[in-house]
Amino acid sequence: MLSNLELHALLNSTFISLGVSFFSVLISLFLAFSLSFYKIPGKRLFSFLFLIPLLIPPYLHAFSWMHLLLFLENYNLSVIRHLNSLPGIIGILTLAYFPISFFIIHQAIKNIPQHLIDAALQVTNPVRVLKRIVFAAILPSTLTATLLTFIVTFITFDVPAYLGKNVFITQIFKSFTFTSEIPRALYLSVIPVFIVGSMWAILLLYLVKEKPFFSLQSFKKSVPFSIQQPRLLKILMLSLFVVLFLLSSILPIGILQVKNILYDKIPFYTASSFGVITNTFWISFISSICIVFFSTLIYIMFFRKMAGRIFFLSLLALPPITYGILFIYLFNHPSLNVIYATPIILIIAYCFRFAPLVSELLHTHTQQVNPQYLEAARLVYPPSLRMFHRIVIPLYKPVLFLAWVFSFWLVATELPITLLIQPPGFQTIITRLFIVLHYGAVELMSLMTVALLFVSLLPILAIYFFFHIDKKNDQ
Amino acid sequence: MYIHTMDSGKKLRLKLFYLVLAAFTLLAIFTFPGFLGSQNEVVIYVTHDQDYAQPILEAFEKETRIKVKPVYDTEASKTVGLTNRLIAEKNNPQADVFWNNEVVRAVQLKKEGVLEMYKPKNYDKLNSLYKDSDGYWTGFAARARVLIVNTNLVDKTIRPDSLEDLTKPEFAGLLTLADPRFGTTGPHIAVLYTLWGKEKTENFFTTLKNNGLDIAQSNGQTRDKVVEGTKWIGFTDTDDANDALVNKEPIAMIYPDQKDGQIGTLVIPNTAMVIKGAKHANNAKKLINYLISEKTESSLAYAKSAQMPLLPGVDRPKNVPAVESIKPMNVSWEKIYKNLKPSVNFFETSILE
Repeated sequence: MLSNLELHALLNSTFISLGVSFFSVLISLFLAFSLSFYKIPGKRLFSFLFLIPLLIPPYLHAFSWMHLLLFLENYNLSVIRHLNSLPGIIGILTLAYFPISFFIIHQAIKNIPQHLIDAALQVTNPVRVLKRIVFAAILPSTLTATLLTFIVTFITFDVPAYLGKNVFITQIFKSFTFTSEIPRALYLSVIPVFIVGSMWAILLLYLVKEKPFFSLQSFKKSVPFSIQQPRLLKILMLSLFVVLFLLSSILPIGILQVKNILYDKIPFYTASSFGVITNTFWISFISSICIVFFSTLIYIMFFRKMAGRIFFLSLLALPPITYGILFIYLFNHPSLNVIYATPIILIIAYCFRFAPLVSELLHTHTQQVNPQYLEAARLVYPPSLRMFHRIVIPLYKPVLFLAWVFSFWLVATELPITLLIQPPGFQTIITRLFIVLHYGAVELMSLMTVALLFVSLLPILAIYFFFHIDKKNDQ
Repeated sequence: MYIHTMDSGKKLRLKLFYLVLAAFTLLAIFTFPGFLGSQNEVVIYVTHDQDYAQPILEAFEKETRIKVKPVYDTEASKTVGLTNRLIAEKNNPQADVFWNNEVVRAVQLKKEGVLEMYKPKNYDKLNSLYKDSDGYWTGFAARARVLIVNTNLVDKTIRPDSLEDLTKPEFAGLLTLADPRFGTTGPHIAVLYTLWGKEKTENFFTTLKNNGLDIAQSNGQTRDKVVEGTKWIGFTDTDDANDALVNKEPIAMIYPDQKDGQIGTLVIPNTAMVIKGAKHANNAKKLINYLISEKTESSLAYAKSAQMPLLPGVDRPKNVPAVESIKPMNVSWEKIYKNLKPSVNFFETSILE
């Protein structure tokens, strides 16, 4: 079944993924509760800032921590060895991935009917309200957030590889590459899919059932609940926010910038190239639009049946390297050169890779659309493009934009597939970053990270500028 | 009923949004044809460090006006990733040239029937150790496997000068080397299998393991660990070590086993080869001639990687030794290739576990 090394790697991966999921959800619950229940200055800004770690490649977190701890060695603070350990990896990946669960749980809390909580607070104490109403209401979201974080962590290869720990993805990679045992590699690839598939089945069939785990309706309000607001507690919360933001965003980006300004002094034009930045931008732009269309198709065809939904959600755990290898074998044919030798291969691979996630967004949004709207529309309009344009599109517009922004981020920061099947003459910021990191040319990295962050933030800035979506919502 | 209305400002923003959308779509459409093939180009897969290889390829492009389309690989999967891609693409090759940073995978590609025979202009000037006798691959710009020590931590008097010194108890827990499944450590172990035999090699690594051998992800990381002082001695390549020397880090580089009766060290050239069925075979040959030239070898010697020229009389900086001054391990690459899988399998099952 599994060799000792593979079994050991599987245990490592499971331990790391469970650890990251647990701590991410813990942090997210704290952040989401604080931001939803307390009048803290800058709460809207923090809600946005806590998503930034997702835009930073996890290996940059590892790299920056490594450099910081090395610096501390000069002051006889010998903590570097703790980084090259399973708890060290859990710590780094928690800082990189907690925004996934934060976003889901925060939206869930914002979506709890305000009047329900306010009424409950009139008759009982906040602890009981928290236990009986709030926790019960956000349980589906919390469980889903836990599982998503587990999946993302399980298929992460760069941080454990950088910190020298053997994880299951490394074993799959080795089977594909060093020993060229393709059937073995495929067998190993199916194991995480099976594990995660079972988890999704339990979650969706017995725990979450048809409850939506995420809501965009909550963009429409954010009013603090009527509970006591001790000043000292709010100051403590604000301080923790600042510390968390420093550790998860400022540190991974800042260390490289400080190093460059003080020591390397690499000017921007040599540190990066315009071509790599434009490549990243346009492949993310086009791919994200394609992903939204493709995911809509997948949603319509498969997601409305539970089995189809579980199957596609399980595919989230298929290692990206397996997608890459499969795509080489599937598309490397003379008649398909127009696909294989061009960035179209990447666009198709991204569509397959990210469709389950985006389809799930559409599914969970559909669960919350009042069916009476569509029924009423059918009375007024016959099924037609006009109805689609005037009723369906406005109802789905928020989730489509969110899906597009998510897809853009996912593509801009995707590494393993891009590295494997990038066509000749094509490179993105993230693959360039990964390559220079591994060659030890760290002096070239600093400004490229800024470019990556800038490109990743463009869609949200565009939506904010063109539509002012969030401006009037968060009072 | 839901009535959909828009104020004029919102309409204007929406129009502007569609305009931007259209502009970027057009940009993508106009950029796309650049990826479709043309005759005046050459596709090269490169496993040499991008920051050293890219200037060479840009210079070729400037000199010949032939567009170079590279695919670079990382050290984490170095040579292994692109080799497997070349094998997978065997029936429909995308690459015209493979610039490999070592030899064993070139031997594998020859055996898999991926390569085309081609002897570049300077082929006859090279030592037979650094070229394929049939002309399937040709070597240039070599590096060597070396020991590096942290000079702040390892006194001159106790520094190892042979691989066998590494099993001494005083170095227990202080040695690091890269995972042999990826990169040049694998071929090095395969050479030891060939020269020392299975039993001696396995005993050697088992002793190192019992002494607390540390496995790094790459040669670069091996160097970093020694530079940082988390490990005192590392087993890496000259180009990685030279990176640290250029940055004035506290390390010393030792070519192991150079005395009479000792086995020497592994000298690993870059290799260039034409892919069978290359769509731009003529351009591929031009590029290979450019790579295996005094000019390219000199550029790579002066680069931070400090690689040793293999052609005679090539201009090089003082810190780059002449390849003749180093005692190489004298083993055929075919034998190394044959021993690669069993030796790395041993390492994986007995050392990594």
